[in-house]
Amino acid sequence: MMTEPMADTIISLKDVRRDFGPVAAVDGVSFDIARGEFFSMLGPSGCGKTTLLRMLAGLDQPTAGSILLDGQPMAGVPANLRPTNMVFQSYAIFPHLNVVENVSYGLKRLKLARAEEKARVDQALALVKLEGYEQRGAHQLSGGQRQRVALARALVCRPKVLLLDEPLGALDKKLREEMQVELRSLQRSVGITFVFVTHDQEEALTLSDRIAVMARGKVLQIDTATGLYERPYCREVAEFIGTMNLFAGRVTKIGHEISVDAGSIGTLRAPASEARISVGDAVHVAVRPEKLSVLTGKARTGTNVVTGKLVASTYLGDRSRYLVQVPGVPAPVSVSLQHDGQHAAGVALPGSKINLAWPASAGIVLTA
Amino acid sequence: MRKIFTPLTLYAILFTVFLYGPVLLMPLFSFNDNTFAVFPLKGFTLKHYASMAANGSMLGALWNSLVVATIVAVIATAVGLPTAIALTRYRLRGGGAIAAALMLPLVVPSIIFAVALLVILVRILNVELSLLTVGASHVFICLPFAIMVLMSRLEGFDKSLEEASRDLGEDGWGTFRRVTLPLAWPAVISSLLMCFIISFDEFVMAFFLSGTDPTLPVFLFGQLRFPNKLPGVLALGSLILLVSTILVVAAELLRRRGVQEKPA
Amino acid sequence: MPDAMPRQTAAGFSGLAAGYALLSPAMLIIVAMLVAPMLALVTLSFWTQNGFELDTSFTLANYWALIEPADEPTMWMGIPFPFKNPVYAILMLKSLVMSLAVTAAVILIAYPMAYFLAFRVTRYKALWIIIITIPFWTSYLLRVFSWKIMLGFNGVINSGLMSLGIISEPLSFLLYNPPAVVITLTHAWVTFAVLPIYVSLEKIDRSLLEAATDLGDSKWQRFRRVTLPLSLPGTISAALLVFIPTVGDYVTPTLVGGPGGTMIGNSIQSLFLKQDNSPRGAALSIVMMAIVALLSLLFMWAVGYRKIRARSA
Repeated sequence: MMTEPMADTIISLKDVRRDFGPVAAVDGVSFDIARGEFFSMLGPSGCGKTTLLRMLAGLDQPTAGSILLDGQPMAGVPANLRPTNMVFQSYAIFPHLNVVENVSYGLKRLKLARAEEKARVDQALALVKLEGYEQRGAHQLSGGQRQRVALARALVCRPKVLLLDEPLGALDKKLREEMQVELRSLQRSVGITFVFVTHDQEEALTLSDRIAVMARGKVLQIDTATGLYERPYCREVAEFIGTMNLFAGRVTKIGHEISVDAGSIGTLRAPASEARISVGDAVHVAVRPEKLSVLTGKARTGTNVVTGKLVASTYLGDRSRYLVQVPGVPAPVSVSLQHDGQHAAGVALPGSKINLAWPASAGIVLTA
Repeated sequence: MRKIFTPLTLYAILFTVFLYGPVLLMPLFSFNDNTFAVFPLKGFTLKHYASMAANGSMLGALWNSLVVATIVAVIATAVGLPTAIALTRYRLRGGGAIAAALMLPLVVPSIIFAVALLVILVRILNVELSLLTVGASHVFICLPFAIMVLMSRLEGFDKSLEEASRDLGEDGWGTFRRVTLPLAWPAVISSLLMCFIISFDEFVMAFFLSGTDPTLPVFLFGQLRFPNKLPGVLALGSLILLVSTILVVAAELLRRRGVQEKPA
Repeated sequence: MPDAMPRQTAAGFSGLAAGYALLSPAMLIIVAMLVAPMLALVTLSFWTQNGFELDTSFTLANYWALIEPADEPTMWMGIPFPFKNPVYAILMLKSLVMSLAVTAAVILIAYPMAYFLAFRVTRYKALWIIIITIPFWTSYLLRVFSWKIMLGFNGVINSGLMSLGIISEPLSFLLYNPPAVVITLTHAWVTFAVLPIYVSLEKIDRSLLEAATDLGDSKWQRFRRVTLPLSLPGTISAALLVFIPTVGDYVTPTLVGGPGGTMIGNSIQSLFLKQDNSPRGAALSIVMMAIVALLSLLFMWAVGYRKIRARSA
């Protein structure tokens, strides 16, 4: 993974590795996170994202590699002495303490004047909109309120980095969407670097400045939401973020465009990519469903045109989704059509023959 | 665990030594060829066991204890099972109070129950003290243990299994016989074993409530006063410890298996 | 009880009837073995023993005998007891103090063991728990008796130390005194306290401990601020489970207490079986129970047990 030097780096990971017995939970990860960034680690469960987060917090130690936090090496620094604070997946609200006692938990060791401690707690509670709940016991709080207490409790310590371990996972969908908006604006207002772990790609895309997509202990790609969607580096990222249609073939020509011979569906063209490709390589041409269009009128042949049979169509209000079985392509091709007059709803019937096309610029050549 | 030998581990080992050390002296000296339990050890002998086996009154007491403990275990478990079912499967008004009352023998000093039973049996009802009165009191003090073991098992398995049996056409008794009882079986055995041990080892109730026929602990207590009976006491005590240990381990293993079988 | 299984939910009327039917044997036992004997005990405490005859006219004399004042207070351990029969008050106080000492010792010894079980043992946990539980189930009488062998004048410690040449004369202060009773009771009850403490430690969500560390606590601070308060419910129940029964213990003071180590249980036993004054014995039993219950409630109130329990639920 390439890491460009950053102007203001707060976290720097170098070849970080964590083995659990024979299994590498984190397998040689290196990247930097910029100060003030909302950075997400996204991946399926078991991809190593939580282990990585816990190593940042100091709750777990890397087997090898180094972690720099604001320039300081973190090896040997225990969790309680690190300038990080965490929002736990379970929130870990102390059940024997009320809201104020929970929030002020990390301040006690600072031995602040009573008034100052109170001011900081009040400020943190205001930040998460929990004024008036000061004396509530932990068991009297709803899931959303517990989440806010966990946030306030971590933020009140003014950490250099706030670590969030799937903090929205336990909330229902509506509350989760509300909290996403709040979390993002909260991060902007406090200006603290957030490192956010999630398995929900939509959540990661909504919240983050940059996202690290992880699988099997490795980072596959670090990019902005747009970057990940429009320019995935590999098939895995392409398929993990949104829906992607893949056409297998072999490279026949490399110029300002790449030509791919996709067998029975003909030659496909796509823009040249950064990846190192030579003629004869087995590749996939990847196209997002919304980049495909249905050709009306007579059947045509040519580049980036495929013909198949409509197997299912789903009306989704503002758009329709077609599944088209194309001979020579294993999975049905997914097409998303906007209802903008040109494509009226419910035109095609299942079983009917259908021609799909896309501009060469919409294709992405993926090596793996 | 990177460090194996932490101070806390050392503490746990010392704790175990403290727990077992004094008790293990009994079997140690029971094989020692000496009438006193003193160091240094003299030599290995089985004669204390032999003389014990020839002691008729001791064998009588042993027989009494075996009979009482067996019957007590069966009755306490037979009463404990419906009680545990009622307390886990029904939300009954007053159920909590009844459960609390049944648990009282766990906390209240047994001498209180012993004298209270003594009063009602002898002073009010004029009943002759016998093994029967001992057994009745043992059922009472075994019941909380039986109920706890059975309840933890009944809470451990999915209630919808019983509902499924109902749904598949079984009536209440059939469901109990074909679903509840087989699933609760390890706990039933465990409860039988535990109640047996409790009754077999119980002293205070038996001391107050037995008539002329002593149970083994009461007999043993009588022997403790005579220093020359010490070797026999040691041999008998060692055997009791051995049997109790075997039964406890069996009961505990069954109970754990019973509890852990619940689906994840 | 053929038709006594639950009908889907416990809500229906027939379901409730079945539920109570299932409970009936236990309720019968409560009435026969708990309620009736207790009522009999209370009744008897208001009667009088006249030789072999029972005088069934109501009297408070048995209670009065326990606290009847005397002109000259009896001194015991420098404390004046202004009673005509000071033995009861003295034994009561002594029993309470000894039980408190036992309870404190048991908790102090059991807590680290429970902590070890909950946080250090990863493999063989079941084995450890069985090892801890076995002694509790083996004969109480024999466990107490083993201390008599240990501490006796001709006992293991004395003969051991003598054969090692450390002492030339047996130590006579080991057995037949209150410390011997406290040691023996501590040993007999310590395993009983490990389990409730262990359960409350085991229940603590590990992420709470991580959160405490994350918020800046050292290991010791974390123990004091999170682990200890969250384990209080189990620790308090363990303390009560040891304190209440040991106050009335009879076996231990009889076997290892000697004349100086007797407790209130000996006095009750003596009144019933030796002095043939069961009405006074009944009164003494009831007073002992009342005092223990009162002290336990006071203790629970003082530590805010309900609140602690509700919060850590």
